[in-house]
Amino acid sequence: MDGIKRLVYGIYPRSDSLRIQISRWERKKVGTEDLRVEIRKEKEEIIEAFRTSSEFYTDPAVNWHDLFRPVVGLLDGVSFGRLERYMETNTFYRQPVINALPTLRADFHEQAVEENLPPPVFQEDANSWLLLPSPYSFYRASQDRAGIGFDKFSEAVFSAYEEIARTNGKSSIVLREIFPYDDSIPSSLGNLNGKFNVILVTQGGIRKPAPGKFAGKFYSVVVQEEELGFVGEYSGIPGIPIIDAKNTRLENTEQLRNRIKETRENLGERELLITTNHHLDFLPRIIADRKLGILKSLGGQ
Amino acid sequence: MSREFITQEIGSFRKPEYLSTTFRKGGTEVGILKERATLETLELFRKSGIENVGVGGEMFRWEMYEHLAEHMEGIKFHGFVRSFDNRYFRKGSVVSELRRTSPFHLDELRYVEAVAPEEIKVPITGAYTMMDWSFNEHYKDRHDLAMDFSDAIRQEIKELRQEWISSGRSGPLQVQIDEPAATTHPSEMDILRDTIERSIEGIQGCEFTIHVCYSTDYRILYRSLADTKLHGYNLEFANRDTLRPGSDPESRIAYQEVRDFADMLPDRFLGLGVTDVHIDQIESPELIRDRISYAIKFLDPGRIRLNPDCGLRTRSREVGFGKLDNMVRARDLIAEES
Repeated sequence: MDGIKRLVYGIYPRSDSLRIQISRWERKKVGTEDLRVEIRKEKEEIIEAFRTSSEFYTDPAVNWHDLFRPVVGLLDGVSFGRLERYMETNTFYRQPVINALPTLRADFHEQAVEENLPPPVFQEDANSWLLLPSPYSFYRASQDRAGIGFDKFSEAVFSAYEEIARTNGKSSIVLREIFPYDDSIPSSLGNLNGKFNVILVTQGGIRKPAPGKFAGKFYSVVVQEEELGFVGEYSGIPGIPIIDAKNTRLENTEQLRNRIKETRENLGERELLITTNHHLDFLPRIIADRKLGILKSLGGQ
Repeated sequence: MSREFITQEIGSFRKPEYLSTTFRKGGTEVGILKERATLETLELFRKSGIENVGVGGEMFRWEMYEHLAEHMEGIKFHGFVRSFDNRYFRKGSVVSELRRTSPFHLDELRYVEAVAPEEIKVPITGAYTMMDWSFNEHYKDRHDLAMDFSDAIRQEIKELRQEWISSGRSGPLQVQIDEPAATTHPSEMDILRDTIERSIEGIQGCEFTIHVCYSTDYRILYRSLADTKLHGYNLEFANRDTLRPGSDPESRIAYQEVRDFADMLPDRFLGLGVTDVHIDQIESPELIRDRISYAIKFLDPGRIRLNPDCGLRTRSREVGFGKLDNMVRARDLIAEES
């Protein structure tokens, strides 16, 4: 379809063979170097599928246990806390605990990340966008023992993100939310705009325009369809989730095409970014692959 | 007067490698290995001194969701989905009307009845969790789907109860309804309540408990289920507590919630999670004692049972044993000091 851009983001489900290898590694039956090779290989295969299915994609992060842990491992001032349920699902994450203002660890680019699988934390793929948790969700998912508050936390985390992006040679970032907003997007989330291309993938909860001004336009903001009106002026390309990453039922491509057509008409034929409503890690791998295929089929001619 | 501080396990325990590596093959030989593993686990439980041995660590079940789903019609498996870290389960898709096709736990109960003279407790995955952990491709809404799971579970409990009577064992059959998903959707607490009521409706001669873990707020649970016929609540606390010894409120931050339980459910007992099943550190008897001591500031000891936060299957058998052993030692410390 014309005027469509597709985004694949977040953690992609591990293959059965990688899952088994990781399990063997945990029991010390596979060495770290061997596992590192397996992880790279799997990432390369998935990235190849992403390349042919989308215009924008992030690292498939198959070596991430959850959205926060690898990033927590790169920071001083934040540690690993208790196991918490991941929103309303049967998945869990280690709750980040904020003990002080976060700063990037001096050895962040070379350390083996504690509590995580072997690096690379990010794939050295030139075209992939850098996947990072939005400071909003990062803060809400954390326990703020230091009492520093969201604004200071956000500023410190963005500063670390800038350095991570530069070190990884990235000019494009996907910030991922897992929590809906209270009623609007905090304006501080635009602090990287202008310096980087930023796609903000929200979980909705937007009922009014942002209270303050953003530093610049986002490359795209992904919101629920009914929220498009609140973000249009600061979203370079309006974005909506159209693939359900929380159900195995496969979408009807024809119905999706009609929906996209209608949405674009309502937007005055502006370009539209389409993606999933969550990362695909909630699905069995075979279904995730099929949903990726559906996204692929909705692309440009 | 109620017995004080009955010690119990919650359900699962790490399978010996000879079973975990062959379990999925099925067949007579694996059946023998399940029995062997149950005997060995019961022996470990006895050595630790816990009083209620459950069903010997759930050696007859691979996993709490999949086990039930495999005994039902209407569920299709597409593959594994992550639970946490590198732990995965086969999450089913409900593609047609549900129907229980064979008993879930009858063989396990028969075997444990025969080899364990101790107190037994049968864990059964609850209907709400079965619903929440399934992909729904068929039912019009989540309530309808959950209620059909409830009917299957009620049928199962009735048959387990019949077996219990036939075996000649005395006392009520203890049934623990496992609902780890219970509070994940606060707006659906009415569905949870309906499923519990339907699952145990009209069944006499059982002691019913619910097990919930990793909830952000137990108070919504207490409120929602206050009018059901549940006798007790086996809950996780230790995971959210500190590892510092002491009976001060800051060190025992997780157990402050026991006050809510005491206030909101004055006639039920609490299975107090006193050891964290997600860390290898084996909490000392003194630390566990301090957790118990803090809880009894709010709740009469006769209404407290002691258990790990959850099943111990994620820990090695050695660590699992150490945690149960220290839990019993902590109970003994309390007894010595009182």
